[in-house]
Amino acid sequence: MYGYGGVINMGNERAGPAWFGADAGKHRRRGAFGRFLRRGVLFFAWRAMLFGAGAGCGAASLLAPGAVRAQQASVSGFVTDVSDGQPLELVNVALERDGQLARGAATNEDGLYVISGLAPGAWRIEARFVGYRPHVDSLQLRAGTVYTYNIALEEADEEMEEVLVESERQGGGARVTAGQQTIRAADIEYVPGPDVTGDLATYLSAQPGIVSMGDRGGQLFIRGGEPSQNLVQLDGILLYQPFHIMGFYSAFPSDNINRVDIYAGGYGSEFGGWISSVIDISSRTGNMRRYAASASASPFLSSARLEGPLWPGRVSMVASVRRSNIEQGVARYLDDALPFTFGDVFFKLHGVPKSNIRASVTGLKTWDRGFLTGETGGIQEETGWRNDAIGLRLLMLPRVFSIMADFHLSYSQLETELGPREDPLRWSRIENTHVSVDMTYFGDGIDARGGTELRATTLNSSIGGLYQNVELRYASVPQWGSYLDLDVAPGGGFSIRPGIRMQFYRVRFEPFMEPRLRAVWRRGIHEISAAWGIYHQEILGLNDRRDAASVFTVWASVPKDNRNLLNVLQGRPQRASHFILGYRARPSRRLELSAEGYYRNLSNLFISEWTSYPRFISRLQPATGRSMGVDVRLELRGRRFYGYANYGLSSTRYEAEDASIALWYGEETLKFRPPHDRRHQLNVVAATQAKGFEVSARWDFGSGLPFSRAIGFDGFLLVDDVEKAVDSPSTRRVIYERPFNALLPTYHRLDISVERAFSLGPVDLTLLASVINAYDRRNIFYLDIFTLNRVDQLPFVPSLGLKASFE
Amino acid sequence: MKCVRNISRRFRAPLRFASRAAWVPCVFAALLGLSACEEDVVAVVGTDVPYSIYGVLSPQLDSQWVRVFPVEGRLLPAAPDPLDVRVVSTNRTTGERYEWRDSVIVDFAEQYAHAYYAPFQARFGHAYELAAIRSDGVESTVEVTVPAEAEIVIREPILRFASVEQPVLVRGDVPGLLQVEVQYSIAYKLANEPDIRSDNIIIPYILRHRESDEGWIIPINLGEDFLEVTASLAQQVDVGLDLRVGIILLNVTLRFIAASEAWDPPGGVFDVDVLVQPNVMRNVRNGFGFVGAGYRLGKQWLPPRDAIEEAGFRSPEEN
Repeated sequence: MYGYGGVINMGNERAGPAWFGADAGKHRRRGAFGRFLRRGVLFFAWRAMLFGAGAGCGAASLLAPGAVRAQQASVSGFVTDVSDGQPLELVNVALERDGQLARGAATNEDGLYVISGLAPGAWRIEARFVGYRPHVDSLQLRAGTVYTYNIALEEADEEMEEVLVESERQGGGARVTAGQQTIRAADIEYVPGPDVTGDLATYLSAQPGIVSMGDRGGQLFIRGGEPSQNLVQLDGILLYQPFHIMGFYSAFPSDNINRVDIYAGGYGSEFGGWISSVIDISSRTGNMRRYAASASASPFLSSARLEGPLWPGRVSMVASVRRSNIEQGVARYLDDALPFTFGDVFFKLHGVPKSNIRASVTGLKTWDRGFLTGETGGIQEETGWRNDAIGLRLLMLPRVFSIMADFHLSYSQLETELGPREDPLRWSRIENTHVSVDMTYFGDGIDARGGTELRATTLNSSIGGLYQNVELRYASVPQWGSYLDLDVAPGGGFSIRPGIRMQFYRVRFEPFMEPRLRAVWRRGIHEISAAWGIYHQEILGLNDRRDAASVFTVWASVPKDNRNLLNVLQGRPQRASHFILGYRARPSRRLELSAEGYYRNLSNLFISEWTSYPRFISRLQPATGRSMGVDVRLELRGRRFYGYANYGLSSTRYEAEDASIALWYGEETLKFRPPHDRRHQLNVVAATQAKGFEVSARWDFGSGLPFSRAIGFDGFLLVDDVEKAVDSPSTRRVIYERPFNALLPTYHRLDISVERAFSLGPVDLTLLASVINAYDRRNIFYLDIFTLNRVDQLPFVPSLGLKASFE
Repeated sequence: MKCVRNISRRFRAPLRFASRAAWVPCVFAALLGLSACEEDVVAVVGTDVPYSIYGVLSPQLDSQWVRVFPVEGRLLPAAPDPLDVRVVSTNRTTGERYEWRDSVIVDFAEQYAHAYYAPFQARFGHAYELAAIRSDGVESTVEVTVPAEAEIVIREPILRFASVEQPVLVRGDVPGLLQVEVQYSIAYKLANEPDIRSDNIIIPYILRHRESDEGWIIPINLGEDFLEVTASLAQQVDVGLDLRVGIILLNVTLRFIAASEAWDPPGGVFDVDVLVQPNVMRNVRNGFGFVGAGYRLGKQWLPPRDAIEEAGFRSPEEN
């Protein structure tokens, strides 16, 4: 029962936009009314019929067994650590009667469990979790009731080492199932970085199939997908560009992370609106019992963190602030210009208003600014962006049905600009208001999950008439998605999750239907998993991808179909279909390995058109694409050693379809490798403990990325009249052969860190010494084809970090 | 395996230690070796092509001009220093040969440019070869034929139901027509003004000409153009026209370039984003760029009164 599944509560779906999403809902209704008038009753009836069908299914799933449920009882609750009130995941909760196990469940990431279908009467409940004392109690259940029973587990006194090994196995470097990987804070800490506290960005860049542009830029390409096609959310709050300009850092330090689920593809129907991948981050809640604080500093970053109970046992808080020291720190002793500043502020309030309700408010603010590429083509590429996000989450266990209800309300915005902040050359702003309700029904052998979400997005930009010469000034884009997802365990080691998502976009009246399927078969040490799904994306991140180092992204939406508008974007949201097939085995307690193949078919992509003008943003052209590859992972865990190695083989191809291509290259379409198509990727991470020191090392290898090699440079004069050669202005020109016809050099780097913890009275000190690029490899970050100016990634960088923490 | 089994137990421990310890320096040596394997990036492959040439030979000019750019390995601003090039033209019909002279200009974009010129008038129907020759003998060449001299013949209007068309014949051996446009000189009166205004409305005629035995035919559609003129006026003025005066057609002017064969942009449109690509509209051998030949032609006339009025205009004779 762990994790997912959900009741189809399509009754709520029908009521969704009316009950929730006040402003966006009004907007949507006005739009629907306008369409109703324009297109007639039939179309509206068709949509109503779809809703009705969904609502019918939802009602049936809940109400049909209603008579049976009246004779039965359910138990649900939250399991926490008694010492700090943190939710405990994967705790086995079992109900027994007469010494016989009747029903059991494992808690999810919120520490929540639901066990339904119990006969009334006396039961024995037992909760077990490695490293904690078992909790046993007796319950008297009455027919037709949902009994809320919360459990607080106490840590055991036994030797913890083996326990640690077991508990950490919830995540791990090789534990991937149908594209999904779960990451814990402990996993992140193994990867060496310049700071005592790890960061999610450092971990992600050591994963196969995830291509980062190196130690700056904050761009992650997952299995051939673009950064703007990745859904990143923190506690359900959508974040558009949460990775910092320095590649080691994101807005997610490991101290703030409870769990991260990465879906490299094939994700279930609960996620919609993005076509590449999902990074779903669940933040850590504050300590409910006592205060704890920490502060750290390194030549890269300073940070401070505080958590503790505002109302012991009922309300906790956690807050952190981080700020870069690069210009004042590492740039000085490197004698290298590293003009980057960034930082973030995070806070979370978590409360227990009632025994069956958990409420939390999460906020995040980030800022980044820097010069990534120097002066190119006369444009100084100063880039900056800022995220602001706040969200409310209510997690409820209603006492009527054995379901879990998860309610989210959030607002987030991203401002990004090219050029100085006060007077940018181009800028873009995207705002997102989001309301969603998810319901999960936990049944016997089948869990069902359904939900609906309403997203109101506003887009604002000023890009000087570029991008197909369309002025993307302002757009308001409502989106509405509803889904139904079943988690069926038919036996024989099979687990199947079929799902369907109805996604309504502005570009057309009918919904986009997105079927999804995830399936797992487990037997013994073996696991075979597969996933398939169809995805659409209406919000576009327009970026000059002729050069992967360009991070300035303009957010826009697909315009509606309009015959009078010559625009390659119109009426066609980006579309992807994913196929994943994976195998995982755990031959021994200390060894785990997995291999996963994937294939993606992409259509309605919009990529930059090539031009021989030495400038960096141009018109868009339509394209299709495909991405495929294999990720192989091996993880080893010893008593004092942990390590993993992974290899990613991938191939991404785009096929541009612009009318000019036949003129330029003599072919109808142009197939090429986009600049993020890294063919081979090898990452090795190893950590060990010796004499109180923790040593970790990481070696990355990546084959060269494609770039467009030039033949030479000349001038260009438009000959459109008789006397043009006399005094008409000419321009400089780059003479390309074909786009992305060459490869940059390979990338490889070794990072090492040594960490030692001390105690000074109540204060715990951790000292870290690290070296980035231990053998001083000259890895290229960016090559300006026009000036031949080469910007390299970080050279050999020694660093010291110190962290002080106390409780 | 047999050998390993035969090693006595006392040697196994040191061997195991040695085998364990040996990998550390090996790994570091390998990594240091990797760092030494720096790979240079060849961002520009270079080419033997020496020059790009742009220009038009025209019988209407007393001097002929072309712009010459060297093909270089770096993108640098053009310098005023002399180029390592001789520009020579040969009239393939008469054998007349000219050595062109360099003229460094600063164009409107404040960039230096090398414009080469020769003091001769290109002749109608003659073929010319132009060569830009580097000191090592490598050259970029282009051959271009100037179109024969043509004349414009205005045909009688054809009046059909809801259509008024006046064909214009371009008589002569002209491979192509470019930048065809029709200018309507009109007069009108705004409803709130006492005086009559005059204006010129230009309507492009892209790829509307067709070939005939006598030459190109440009069908001037007076009726459709009247609607375009009206729409254009409506955009220019905020108040309505005085319908009693209407739109008076003062004259019609047809203009175009009689162009050489290769002077033929895709779709008949001079889209700078398309034409900037090196292989589009390129006719220079062992070089880039485009050299065309042609001349401007134009003619002004006033259509007959019945055609003017049938199209929707008012005749000046009426006012």
